[in-house]
Amino acid sequence: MDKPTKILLVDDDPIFFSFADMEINNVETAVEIHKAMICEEAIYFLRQGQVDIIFLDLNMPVMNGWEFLDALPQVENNDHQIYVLTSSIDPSDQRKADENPFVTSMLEKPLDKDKISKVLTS
Amino acid sequence: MINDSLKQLGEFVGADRSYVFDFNLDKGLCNNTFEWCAPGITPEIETNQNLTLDMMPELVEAHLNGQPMIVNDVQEVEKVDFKKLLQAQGIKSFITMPMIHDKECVGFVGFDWVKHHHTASQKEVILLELFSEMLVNIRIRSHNERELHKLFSKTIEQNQRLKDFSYITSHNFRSSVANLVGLLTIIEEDPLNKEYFEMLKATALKLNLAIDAINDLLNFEKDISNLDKEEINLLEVVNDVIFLNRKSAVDKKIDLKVDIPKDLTLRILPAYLQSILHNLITNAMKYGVTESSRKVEISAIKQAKGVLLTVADQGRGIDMKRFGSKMFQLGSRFHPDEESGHGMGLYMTKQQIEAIDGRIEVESEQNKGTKFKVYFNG
Repeated sequence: MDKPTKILLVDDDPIFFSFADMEINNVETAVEIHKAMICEEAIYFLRQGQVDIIFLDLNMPVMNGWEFLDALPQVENNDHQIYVLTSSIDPSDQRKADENPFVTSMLEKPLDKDKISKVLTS
Repeated sequence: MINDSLKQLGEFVGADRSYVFDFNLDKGLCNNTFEWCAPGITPEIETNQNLTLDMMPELVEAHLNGQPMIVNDVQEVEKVDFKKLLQAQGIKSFITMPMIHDKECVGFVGFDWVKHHHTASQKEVILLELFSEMLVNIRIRSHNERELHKLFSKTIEQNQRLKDFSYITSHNFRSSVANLVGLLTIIEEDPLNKEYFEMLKATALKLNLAIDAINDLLNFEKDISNLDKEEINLLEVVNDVIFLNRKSAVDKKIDLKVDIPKDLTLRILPAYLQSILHNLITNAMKYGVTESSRKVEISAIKQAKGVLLTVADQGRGIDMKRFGSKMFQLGSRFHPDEESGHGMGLYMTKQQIEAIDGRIEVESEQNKGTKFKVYFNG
């Protein structure tokens, strides 16, 4: 992958945004970070334009991460890598992530510098 | 299976009717539980319900002693009303055989001859004896299967609850802990940033709330049978709940309307009523209020069988087609805001209402509002 320039964070937790923002900038300053607090907003955003990487929280109100992934084929611009974020220890989440064709990989929260570096350089 | 056997045996011995009766010795009654009739013979199973054992002393005495009753001509029956009952059903001859379980007679199996008289042969009596033994075995087995099935459903339900519980624990706790770890890492790098300390505090508080919520969940799982019901004035409890939440009611300029008769009382567990009302009212105040509509209405009326309580708002509502089935599930959340809960409120409310034999219903329409109806018994 070319060097990623656009990242979309999908999470309902404002505190997560604050430090994910900071940690990503610590690793790489030349990226645009977009945020969506609900999945519908993220889908709307993806219809308007493309991103390189999506960090997707699984547990969200209204539409959860899995439901978002199910709705993705309807979005035309889907040339991106999706990293699913979870704080859950449910092994079925890992299995579902492995089986989902849209998911690049699953990461356990918190999203720290090491994890971000790996994603950005992969 | 029992019906098939009744048919086969009935046909084999050329009877017109074959049947099973269960005794209820405590109540002194017996009931016809299975019946087969030959073509053209009137079924009597509906007539033969809750017959008193006093009416048929000869039959009861024989069976309690483990003996069959063999009547080749119904005229031989001594007890007059028993004879009349048999004749009314067109019976000319009959054989009945006790069903013995654990040395106790639990009922009987029998054959009727309606079209003509029949003299019972030794072979028929032996056959019927075997059949009654077989029936007892079948019924013990099906009883055991039912018990097993009940236990199985209960285990599935408990297992689901445990899954729900571990989901909540792992997600709500761990997301806060993940935030704490993340924030501490940042603070280490930038120790003077006050903003992060505020986030740290907010996260710790959220974790604390999650733990409180889990405690509530555990508490309510305790046995409620040993808690005491009390006669409680509904309006007083509603007013208490409103008083406790007056700050957010004032902050959000909520237009609260209460319409509950002053003298309306309920026999109920006080803690449950409080918790149910608290959840429904604070939910309406949190999610049922928009810029243009701030009305929350709480009303109650006495009904024939208890009390109907309604909590209605005119807020954003919910798409019932998409989310209706998730409404009362543990871990379901519908509102992406700061005040978003742990997905436990409505789950617990429903559990509590059902634990006291009540019922909750919800009506909701997007941008029109949500209405919760709670039916309390008694």
